Amino acid sequence: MGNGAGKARMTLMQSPSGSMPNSTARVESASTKDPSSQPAPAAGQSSSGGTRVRPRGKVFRDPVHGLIRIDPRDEFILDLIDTPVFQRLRRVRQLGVSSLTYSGAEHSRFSHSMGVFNFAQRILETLRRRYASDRAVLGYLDGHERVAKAAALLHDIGHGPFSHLFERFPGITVDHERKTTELITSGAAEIGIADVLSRNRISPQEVAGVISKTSEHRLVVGIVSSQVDADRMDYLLRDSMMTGVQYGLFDSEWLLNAMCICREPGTAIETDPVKAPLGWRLALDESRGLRSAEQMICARLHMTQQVYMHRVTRGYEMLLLFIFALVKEKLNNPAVWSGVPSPVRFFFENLGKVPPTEWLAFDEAAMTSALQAWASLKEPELAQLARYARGYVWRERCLSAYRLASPGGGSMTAGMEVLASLGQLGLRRDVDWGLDDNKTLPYKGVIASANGRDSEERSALSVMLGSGNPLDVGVFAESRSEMLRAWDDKLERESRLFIDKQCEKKAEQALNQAGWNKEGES
Amino acid sequence: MNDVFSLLSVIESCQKIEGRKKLQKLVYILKEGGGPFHYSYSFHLYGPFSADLKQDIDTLVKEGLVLEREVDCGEGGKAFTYQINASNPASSEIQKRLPKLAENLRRDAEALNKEAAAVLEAASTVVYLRRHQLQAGDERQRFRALKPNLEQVFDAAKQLADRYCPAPEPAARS
Repeated sequence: MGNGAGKARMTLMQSPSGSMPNSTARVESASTKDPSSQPAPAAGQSSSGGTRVRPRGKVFRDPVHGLIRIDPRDEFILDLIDTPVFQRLRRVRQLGVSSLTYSGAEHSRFSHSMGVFNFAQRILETLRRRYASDRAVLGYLDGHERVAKAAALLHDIGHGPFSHLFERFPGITVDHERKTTELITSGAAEIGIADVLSRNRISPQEVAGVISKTSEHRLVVGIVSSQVDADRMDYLLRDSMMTGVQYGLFDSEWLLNAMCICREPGTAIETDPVKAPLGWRLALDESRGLRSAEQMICARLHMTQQVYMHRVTRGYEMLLLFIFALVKEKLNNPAVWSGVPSPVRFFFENLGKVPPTEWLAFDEAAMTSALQAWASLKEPELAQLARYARGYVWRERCLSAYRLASPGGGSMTAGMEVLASLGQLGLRRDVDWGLDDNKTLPYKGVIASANGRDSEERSALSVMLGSGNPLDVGVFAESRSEMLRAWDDKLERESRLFIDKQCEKKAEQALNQAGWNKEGES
Repeated sequence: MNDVFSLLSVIESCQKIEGRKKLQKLVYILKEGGGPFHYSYSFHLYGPFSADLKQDIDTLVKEGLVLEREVDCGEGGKAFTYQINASNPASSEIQKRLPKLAENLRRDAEALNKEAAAVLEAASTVVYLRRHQLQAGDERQRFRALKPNLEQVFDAAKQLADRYCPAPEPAARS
């Protein structure tokens, strides 16, 4: 999976193949105030007042990419990496509690973000090579590639401890994408992202717009966020490598090689050189890209089924959610806060709203300290919290998992029925037991979702195939692929029920009557 | 699954919701106003859209808990209406047992349901821009860039956004 690690010298930075010329062929931006359209500082010329000149750039070793190269003209990337808010990602694991299932899954959002940056950089290089004689494309890339690179690098800085788990926290609003855009545009000195971007004449708003998908530059959005984007390319390969499974592998080199630009279906040819690129979409060369795209989409489905939704992982996630619900119930008990780091307390007391000063220390180290403190609680009224926390810290099996006897059908009705039955037995939802609703959509295309029903989804992330000519309209990949058509808009849904082992006997009969069979423990 | 309970309560409060777009935007505005939803939204052609919500509503329809009806809305257009399937015994039984939404949320859901889908699309877009800190500068100008066809309802949309999703973000309501 590496791309030549060991062949390059660690200290010598060569320009990435096909790297950008020094911003000589820019097109005029629609807004003259848009700092993203400004030329980059010349190589070796520091944007931060000449204090951090790295004339040969820098390389990072990476287990997936071999070497990640930072071009001297992209010194702002090094400045972004050096901000505390980006360094914090070293203490947020990519797969949250998955290491309790897959012992190697200790990799961080930091290494993943570096990988996404590199894939975004390589997609841009591919486009530069392919369109080396197309002044319109080169001009557009000159004006927007630094925004794309910054967005790729920063796309996950808003992740809380245990990554996506915190977005499932009952009664607390947490959304990593929103937190990311808030941090990027924040003027707070301790965050510093907006300062680095502005100093380098990159608009924080434009970067935030790409991440939130509100940017009109869909080609750039597609590099960072689509069904064959830099994010998915990296996390599938990295998660696969670090968990030790093979399901996430796909031919990333061939996929990169097939990347091109097409025109959005339903748009007319635009002669205005500023408006024309707004109709461009990231696409795959129709003669060579389809099979590698199918392979990647298949890899994502299998990773979801085999790794991300693994029973043991989901069980420990549910255990953490039970712990957090109990903490939320006992907010006013001073014993709960003894030995707990202040950002964790702040998070619970303010229902997930963590200000920048606290955010920098709100990581998995702080959460683990809190869990260790809760595990040693002795107060009888906190016994369940202490038992659950010990269960997480010492990886004890606290919960039993149940599945519907006939998976795939009637899961919601069965969920509602069990809610009523267990409630009558005096068992509390989200504390004694909880439902885990797993939804997987293998492929999100335009054709099935449009189909007269969901015009909303016409801007879905359908993979596009193109001739390679940016003036030619692209076609939806599902129209050329039986496999993608079969998966388009086909929701796979399976529910699990986790219950405290100490309550299990009481609930067993009701669970069996409602059609839930025991699957195992976690 | 917790979202599903709240979703059913909202549909029950509104009696009937006309159009997928209206349902999507109504739930988004309630969520951002502190309602008990965790649906993940991203920005689509018609503003904030949740694939999770779409999947939930499809499953509720498939399992017969919610009725989906296709209606003609003129000029060849079609829309889908949603209401609780009162003829399904499981559905009415579930209704009795479901935890009820807070009274103010029920009122908000009913009031939002009376707005036109286009106004809700515009209002949810304003809220989305505000929540993502993307409204810097002239809010109307930013809105126009995304929704040029809805500029005439911008003022109404802004009022709805101010009323239901005031800044700063409110604490979650249950």
